[in-house]
Amino acid sequence: MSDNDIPFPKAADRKELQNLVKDNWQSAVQEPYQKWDTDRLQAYLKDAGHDVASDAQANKDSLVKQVKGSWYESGDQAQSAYESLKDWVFDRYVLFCAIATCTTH
Amino acid sequence: MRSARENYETVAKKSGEAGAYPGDWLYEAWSNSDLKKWLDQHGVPVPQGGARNKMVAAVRRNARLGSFRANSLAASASASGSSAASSGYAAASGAAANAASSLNDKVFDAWSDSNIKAWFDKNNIKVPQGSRRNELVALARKNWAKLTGDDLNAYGSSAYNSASSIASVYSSVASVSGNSAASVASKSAVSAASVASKSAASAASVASRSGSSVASRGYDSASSAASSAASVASKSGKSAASRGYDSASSLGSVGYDSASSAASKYGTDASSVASSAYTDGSSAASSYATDASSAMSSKARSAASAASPHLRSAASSASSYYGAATSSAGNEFAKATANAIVQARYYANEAYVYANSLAGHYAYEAQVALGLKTNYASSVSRSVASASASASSVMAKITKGEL
Repeated sequence: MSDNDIPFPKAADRKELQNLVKDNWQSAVQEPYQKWDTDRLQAYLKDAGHDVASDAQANKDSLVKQVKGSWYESGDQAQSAYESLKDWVFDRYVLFCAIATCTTH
Repeated sequence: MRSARENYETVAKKSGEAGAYPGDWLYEAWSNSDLKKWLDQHGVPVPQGGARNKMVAAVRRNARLGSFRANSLAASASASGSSAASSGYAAASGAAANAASSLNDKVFDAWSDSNIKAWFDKNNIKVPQGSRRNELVALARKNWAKLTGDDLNAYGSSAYNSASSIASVYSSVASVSGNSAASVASKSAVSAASVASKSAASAASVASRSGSSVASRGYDSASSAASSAASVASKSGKSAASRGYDSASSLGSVGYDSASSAASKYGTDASSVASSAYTDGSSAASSYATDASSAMSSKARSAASAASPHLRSAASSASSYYGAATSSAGNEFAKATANAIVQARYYANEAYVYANSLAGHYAYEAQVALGLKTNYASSVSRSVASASASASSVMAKITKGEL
């Protein structure tokens, strides 16, 4: 919740927290680009080698639609990715920090 | 990275965190500047005010995106590199291309844009104005392949040529990163003796660990070269088989002995540097830090180059049995030789990437957090000069065939 700036009642019990995660899972994990601003959406599309629709049509909704069409994985894949986190969480890890982390632990 | 993955569950459990979410322990070792740099590189807006917990949250949220980018880079690299190769060499060539392309990604990741540009200058490669980072990296990768002779003709011609061309690329790379470290050092003007002495001590301990890991990698690759040589020999079905195995495995153990004695020597060297830096503790400490980090990278490099001749001689002794093994073993032998060379390059490259990232990290931290006094610039440039002198003497030895 904190990582994704989602407010939650301090006194929430586990069940309530689980429901909150469930409600926000799609926008935070499966389709994180839903929360991006137009700059980041455009930068992503350019980086992925797509033509960015020219200025007038580049409103947020159409950009989100375009990003959605070229996103790397489906919702189901995002779901199962968190069952094998160790396989990808180190993919762009800072090399020096990996040494320090292994040393510390 | 492999070690981190293998121990992931254990550490997550020990830290009292669920393995299904990237816990705080994963980012404890990251400095604020590491976090900021990562966010910049991945096009993620840095949270306003740069509060550490906000930056960790941003890296965590975007870790999966980072993995996608890593994979799509690797995929496009291997797609562009898959057009070579014929008949019996196809398998070996595919493996070589894969290893080379993923390694190059790692190498260039560790470089700043200005490192890459300096490397282009050094190798007389023209860069179009206004190139973006991914275009720079693509160009660097393409030229890297050309400069290191990353195709099967190079593997076929001789192990010696390919080893020496690698050495020359590494030495040019080393001098580029050496120069940038020196300029960073000379630009900053704050004193930080005690911090520097701490980093010298930690550099030393990392060095002793890295020495032994280089040793064990040397042993692994020597013994795998030995066992693949043995399997080639046994396929030929002649009496040469057992002879081949004996000689290859004795070469393997020679490789191990020499690598491990190198490791223990570097360990001793590094820790004596550390202890003197520690006792001194005052103004000289920061120059020890610089010395230690440059000495370390040159030692890592020379450990790698010390290991590679053993691989080469394993390959060449295997080659003398090639005649006896005749035509049936021919194809298998070629694959084994190419494989041994690929491995040698891989380990050399890994050692280099490690040393480079360490050097870069210290230089960066030095600039941001501590900085060095201007009058240390001359001692830095002296140690850079001595590092590059020792690199070139290693290179000269390799060229003469003494190593």
